[in-house]
Amino acid sequence: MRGEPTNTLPDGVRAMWLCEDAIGMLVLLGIALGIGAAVDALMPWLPLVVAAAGLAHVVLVPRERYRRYRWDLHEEELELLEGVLSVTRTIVPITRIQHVSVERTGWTSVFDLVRLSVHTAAGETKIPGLEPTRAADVRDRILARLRTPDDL
Amino acid sequence: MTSEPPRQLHVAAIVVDAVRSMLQLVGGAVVIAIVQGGTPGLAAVMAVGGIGASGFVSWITWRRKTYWLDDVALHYRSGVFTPDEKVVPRARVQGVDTVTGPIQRLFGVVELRVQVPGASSSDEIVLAAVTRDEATRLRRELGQPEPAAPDARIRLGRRGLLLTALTSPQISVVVSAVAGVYALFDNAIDVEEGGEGLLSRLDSPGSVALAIAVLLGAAYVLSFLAAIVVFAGFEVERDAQVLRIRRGLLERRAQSIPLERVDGIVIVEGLARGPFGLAALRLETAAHGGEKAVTRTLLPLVRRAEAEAVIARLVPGLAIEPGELARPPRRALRRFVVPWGLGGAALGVAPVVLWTSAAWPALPALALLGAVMGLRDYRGAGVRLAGNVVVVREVRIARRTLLARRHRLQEHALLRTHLQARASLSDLRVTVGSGGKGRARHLETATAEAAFAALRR
Repeated sequence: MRGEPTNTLPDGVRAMWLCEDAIGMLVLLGIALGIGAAVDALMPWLPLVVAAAGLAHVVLVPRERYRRYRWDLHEEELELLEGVLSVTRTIVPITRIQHVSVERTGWTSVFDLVRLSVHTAAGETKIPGLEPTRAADVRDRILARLRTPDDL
Repeated sequence: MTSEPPRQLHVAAIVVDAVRSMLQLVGGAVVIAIVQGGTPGLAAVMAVGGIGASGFVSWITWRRKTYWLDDVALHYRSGVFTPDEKVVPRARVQGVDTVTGPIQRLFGVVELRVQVPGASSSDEIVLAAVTRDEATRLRRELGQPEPAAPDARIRLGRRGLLLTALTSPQISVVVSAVAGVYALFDNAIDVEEGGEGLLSRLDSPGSVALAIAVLLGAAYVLSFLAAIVVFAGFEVERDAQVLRIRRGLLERRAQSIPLERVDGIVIVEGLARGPFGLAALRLETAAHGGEKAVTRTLLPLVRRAEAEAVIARLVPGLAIEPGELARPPRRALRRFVVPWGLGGAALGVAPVVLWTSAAWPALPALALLGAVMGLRDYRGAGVRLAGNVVVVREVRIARRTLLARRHRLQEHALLRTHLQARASLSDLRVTVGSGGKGRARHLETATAEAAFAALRR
């Protein structure tokens, strides 16, 4: 079996995932505090548990996710390897790609990143963050390999 | 670039449109009138008002609907205040279907549906009423080959139709519909009599069981009738390039699907059909993603033992030699049985918690049923590469065998959870153009990796 893909994500993605997960955990903590305040004495330990689990999640998960993520653009296909506890290795043949979009949102540009998303008849597949110049390069390489999209 | 002048739909389109919105309006009006405790007179007034209003609106919108062809595309413009123009390049047309409902038949016209690739059926262009000559012209212009003498043809005879309807897989949908109707009537009676709803009279296990039996019986009858209406006169034929499917009692549908656009076929063995060695065949194409299962039916009933042979006749590109699937190893058995059993147990807990502790036998019974489903899942799961075709089988509720053309897969993936990795097991998942997926679970990692690697080009 051919080796696993080799490209890692830029450092910014780790920071972005860390921030995203931290915000998500703060929201959950807020909800837990709200519940704790509304139904007193029922579950006074709930906010503590959520805070502890949230902290552990934020410390461990984004880092591991980042460390394990790999991608590669081969001659004929795009390959992604992602996940921590559940690992998925995906192949998207380039001939099946209908269009490629490079997405920049306010949030991604804070980290000076863009998302690359390839669309097929079955749906879309994303690389969560790339440097803008790298993304443009990948997009151009995919487009160069796409022949006439007559055959779906 | 040459472009023909915009054309209007046949006037029958007004009637089609009006009747459609009327059915909704009138239904709504009658329900409102009954629930509000109004008189039949009020209901009638509202119904007549609804007819007038929908007729008028339909006429206005008809006037603004136009379509035309130019060198490269079919254009369709509609909308009164904010006209909306859909453009489908000729080269992207996946198929042209016709639907002939009772109203269209009355006017001697047909409804034309231009299928485009994509996951949403709202992307397609629907011309609600055009004359038969115009339909022929559009079909020719959009590059749909004229029917040649068929190379293969299969009809669903009267007996087949009856069997299809008796083992109709749409029961679950109808159960929810009947439950909805029941709730509505329950409410209505509640309001009119000022008494208690029917539900609250179900105080003994016997009456509950009876109510459930009646509900299921009604659902079954409705499902039976629906299947008759939808699949009556079903026939499928194939010439050198195109599959053509015709079906329907009140509303006659003719679909044409170019063979080269068929990504795969799923052999579906439902709970009602599997035990009798029967199955249905469903098409996977990029044009039919997101559409109802019935629209994707290649054949509503086939003997399971003959399924592969029938597929080979209808879609030669999916013909495979007989052979065995690579199956999950023995040690994966508990990974199938335990989750299913726990799922069954969880279902069994619900009535005990929500209703009465006397329902406790449901728990072991459902857990056992779950475990049996898990065993069925284990025995069904597998994958096989047969020349240009990949076969993936899995059990959800029905047993589904996906036959897909390897070179038309949209995506394929190897999946492994932490627990699977320790037991060196992996899943293999393939995705076809409709967005449909086939997943062979808990395979030996070496087997899954070999298949994964072979599917790369």
